[in-house]
Amino acid sequence: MDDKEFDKLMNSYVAGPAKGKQSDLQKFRASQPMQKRTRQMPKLAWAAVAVVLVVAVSLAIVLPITLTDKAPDEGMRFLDEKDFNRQDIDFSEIQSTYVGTYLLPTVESFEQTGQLFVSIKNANKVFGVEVSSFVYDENFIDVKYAITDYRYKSYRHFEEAPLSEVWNTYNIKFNRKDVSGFCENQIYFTDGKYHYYLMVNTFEEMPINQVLDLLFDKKTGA
Amino acid sequence: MNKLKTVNKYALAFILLAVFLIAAALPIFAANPIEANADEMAFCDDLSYLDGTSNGYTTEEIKYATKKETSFFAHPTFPDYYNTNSSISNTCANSAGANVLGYYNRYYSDLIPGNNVGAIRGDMYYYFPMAASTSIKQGVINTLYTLMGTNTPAPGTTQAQFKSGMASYVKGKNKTITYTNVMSNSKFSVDKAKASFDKGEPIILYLSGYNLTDYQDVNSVYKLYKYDFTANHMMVAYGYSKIEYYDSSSKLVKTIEYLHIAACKSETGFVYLLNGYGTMVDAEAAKIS
Repeated sequence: MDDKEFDKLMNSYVAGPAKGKQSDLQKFRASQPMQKRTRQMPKLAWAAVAVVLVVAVSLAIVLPITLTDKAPDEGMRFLDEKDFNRQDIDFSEIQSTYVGTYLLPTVESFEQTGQLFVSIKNANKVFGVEVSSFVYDENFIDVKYAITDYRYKSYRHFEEAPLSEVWNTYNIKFNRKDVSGFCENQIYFTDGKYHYYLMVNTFEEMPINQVLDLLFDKKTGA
Repeated sequence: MNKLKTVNKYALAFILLAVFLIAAALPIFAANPIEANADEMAFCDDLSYLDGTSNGYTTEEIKYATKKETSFFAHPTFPDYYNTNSSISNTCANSAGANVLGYYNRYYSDLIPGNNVGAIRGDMYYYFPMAASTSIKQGVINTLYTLMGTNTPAPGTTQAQFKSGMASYVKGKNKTITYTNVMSNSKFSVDKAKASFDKGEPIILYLSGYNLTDYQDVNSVYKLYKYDFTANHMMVAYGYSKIEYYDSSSKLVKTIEYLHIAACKSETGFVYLLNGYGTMVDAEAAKIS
């Protein structure tokens, strides 16, 4: 580029539109009250942030409390998705009330504890009993059994026990475990209406029919 | 004007999103039970039956030709006390304490006066079940419920509350209780547990999520039934078993390790599967002397 060309270019630049008078930005700035705009928007934003912060802090305090207080069970128990409570009851009362309803073991024992399964959802209906018996005779250490209208979720695997026998008219499913010092027998059967789950600890391994014969008095109809 | 409004909207949206994310993240950090110290956790699973937190059991079957079992115990039989008082709840810590006291009650009769604790038959000492002198055993659970401050100020019992309540109880019987930690790198140490069991000391387990597992072993088929629970729970271990299963070519096909436990619930006959569901927050051997 020679000097002549350069001069021509520079002259045309100088002769162009005046800076700050025709640009869109300048037109926009000239038409708006700048101060007012910049103050209104932050106020709105900070108000929103303050509200959200209050909510956030509240959630941060409340949520951990509700999340960490696990298992607020309040003594509630569940059996087959049916809410129920336990209710302490004398074994003698279980005997007198349910002897014609349930097939109750009659083996002699030193002490028994009894509890009723009481439905919460269904007007406090009793739908089962659990009894723990301290036997400690020549055969048994202790016997625990649950009799319920429903399948007993905690011991449902009893129903899949690998061994089976027929005892009287009942199809018995059972499992034996050799634990140090004793034999643990898990027994399940149903009479078509109620489900029977028995946990019987014996000193030695015994035939399951013998175990049941000793547990139940045949005169009761078993 | 419109362009600036859009820019501010984005800025506002960004701030709101950031605050929201912070708010959402805070509870996660604050509530993470696995990272929490056991001293601050509450152990309160008192459900006597499998509750809504469990989806029932899962099974695992192992077919084997031969097996090799290794076991060691503080004692082969152990108390299995649990709460039978429906007026109190979240009692697993109280029951765990009662089981430890019941175990040592054999050696120190005044720990639980009047308790029908057990008897010797042959060369084995048998601990009697909850049904034997229930009112006395339940009385201990009730007392520990108060001494541990269970359900105060929140549901359950913390590890610190458990220890404080136990110390208070045994002090009243002119005894002391000491603990030996059996964890190593945040995991249950079988070696440390063995050392404690060999000394006849049961181990208290502090669990965040846990399993109760039962098994059947018939005709060379070993079947596990694993019930998983999400709640915090305490139980007492009194023995350890490791079973190695081999196929017909003597190849090791599976190893199962579990703890023999007093579940501190009305369920009986279950074991605690190591490497099963749940996190062991802490484990301490307890010695009363």
